[in-house]
Amino acid sequence: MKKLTSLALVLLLVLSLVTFVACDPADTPSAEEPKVVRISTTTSVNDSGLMAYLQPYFEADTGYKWEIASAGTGAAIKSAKYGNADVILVHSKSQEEAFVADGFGRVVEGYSAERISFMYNYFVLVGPTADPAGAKNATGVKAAFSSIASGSHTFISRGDKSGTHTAELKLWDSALGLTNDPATSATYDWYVSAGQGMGACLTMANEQGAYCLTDKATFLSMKNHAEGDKLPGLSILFEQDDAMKNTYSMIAVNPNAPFIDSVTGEALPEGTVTIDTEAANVFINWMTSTRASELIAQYGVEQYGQALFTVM
Amino acid sequence: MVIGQDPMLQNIVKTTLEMAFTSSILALLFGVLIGLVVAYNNFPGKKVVVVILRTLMGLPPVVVGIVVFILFSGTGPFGHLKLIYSVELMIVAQVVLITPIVAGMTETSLTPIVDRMRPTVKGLGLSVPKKFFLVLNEGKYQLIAVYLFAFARAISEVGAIQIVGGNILNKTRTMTTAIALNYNTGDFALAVALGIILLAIALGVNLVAGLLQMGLKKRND
Repeated sequence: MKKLTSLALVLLLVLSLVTFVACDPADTPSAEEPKVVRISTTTSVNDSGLMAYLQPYFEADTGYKWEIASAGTGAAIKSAKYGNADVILVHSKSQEEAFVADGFGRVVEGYSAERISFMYNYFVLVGPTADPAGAKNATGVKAAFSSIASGSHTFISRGDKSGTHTAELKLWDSALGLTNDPATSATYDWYVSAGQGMGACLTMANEQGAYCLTDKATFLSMKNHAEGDKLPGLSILFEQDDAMKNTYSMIAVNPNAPFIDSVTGEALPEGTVTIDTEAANVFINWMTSTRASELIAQYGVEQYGQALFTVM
Repeated sequence: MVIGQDPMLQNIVKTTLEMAFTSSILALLFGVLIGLVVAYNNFPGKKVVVVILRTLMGLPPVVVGIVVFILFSGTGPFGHLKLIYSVELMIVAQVVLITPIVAGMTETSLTPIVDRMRPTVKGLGLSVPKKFFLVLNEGKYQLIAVYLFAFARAISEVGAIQIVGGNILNKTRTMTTAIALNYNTGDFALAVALGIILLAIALGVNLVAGLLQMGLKKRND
């Protein structure tokens, strides 16, 4: 028995050693620390695969590495307010303007404003191919949304204060009383507030035969999935209405902004937060360069037969 | 933030409690039965069964979530039951997750009791249900601890129930999935407040269980 116990102990020790070695980063710190730009962005930018596609080109061209933290637009902006990002890349105009108005933006040399809009795509209304609400033949996107509401057809809302959620709320008849605050918003049996990311909401719409507003990139990437069509029950019913334009902007973070403490919510004493303005400039200048514009315009053409973003 | 005045919050707390109590009690029933059978009987391959049970105790919730989702989604084998995105399916996923934990812990805590009691029970010549009842009665104190663990697991879980329940407002949103959502929306203060309520509920359940255990101990002394 004693032998067994010691054998078990030795085994445990070996196992933990193996784990330790495996976790040890293989690359020892090099003589020169790589320069890093910290980007706070939204899930839809990251989920579309655009950033992963651009990353190797950016890093080869500039010598900078980029670190992307992605969350809903609300959290992405909050994170920057805590001093966790050099630059933000989001798609919610009103929230971006508030961010700048609060003193968190910085005008990068060569640009006229803090908010640099550089590309756009369109949100699309997707739903069951049979289209019981007749959204396909609506005269405009607002009419399509009205027909969904008046027929009480199930609609899946992101419900997470994301850029997509904000855009969706603007498309409903204001008389419905739908807002981005779940505590005060009107509730309807047909209006499902999912509180999840784009992919999870599309999966839910597919399961329930429901309507959903989505960015085109995420929808196409799931439609044309390597494992096969992940959303066989859904089709694009309405697109290309001006009200569905989805503009992406970058804002460099002001190093002297009134950063706040993530725990107490109070102002941080000056000098607590270090923002790498140089890194933010490099990132913004590269993203607006001809080189990046060409790369963005090509993104999706090979895989989906159409570009997913249009450069401005 | 007062629960009594906020219907949304009331609904979240109600869903959480319904899900946590139902799933932990069901898992307790199944798990204790499995653990008891394994602890009581000596059969070939028992050691293998124990190792399997203990391995299943570490089942990753998201894996269970995805498997249950695939089984119960529209095209899955149980899709016709139309249970996807319901509290019922969240309970199914939780029972799958927690039953092995209860079974493993029951086996571990009852084995010494069984070994101690075996000669007596044999001498009395009792029927199988009576023997099992006797062992359970002896192991009450340990079983309360096992239940507490099952409940803690049920109320704190987020990965599996987010997938199969969908975090739908006023339907399948629980405290943990609401906290995860509040992180995504940047409402950290609300997330922390919900976390405090969650801890308070766990404390309440633990206090009740602790009193029960104290009562048992006194009676035995």
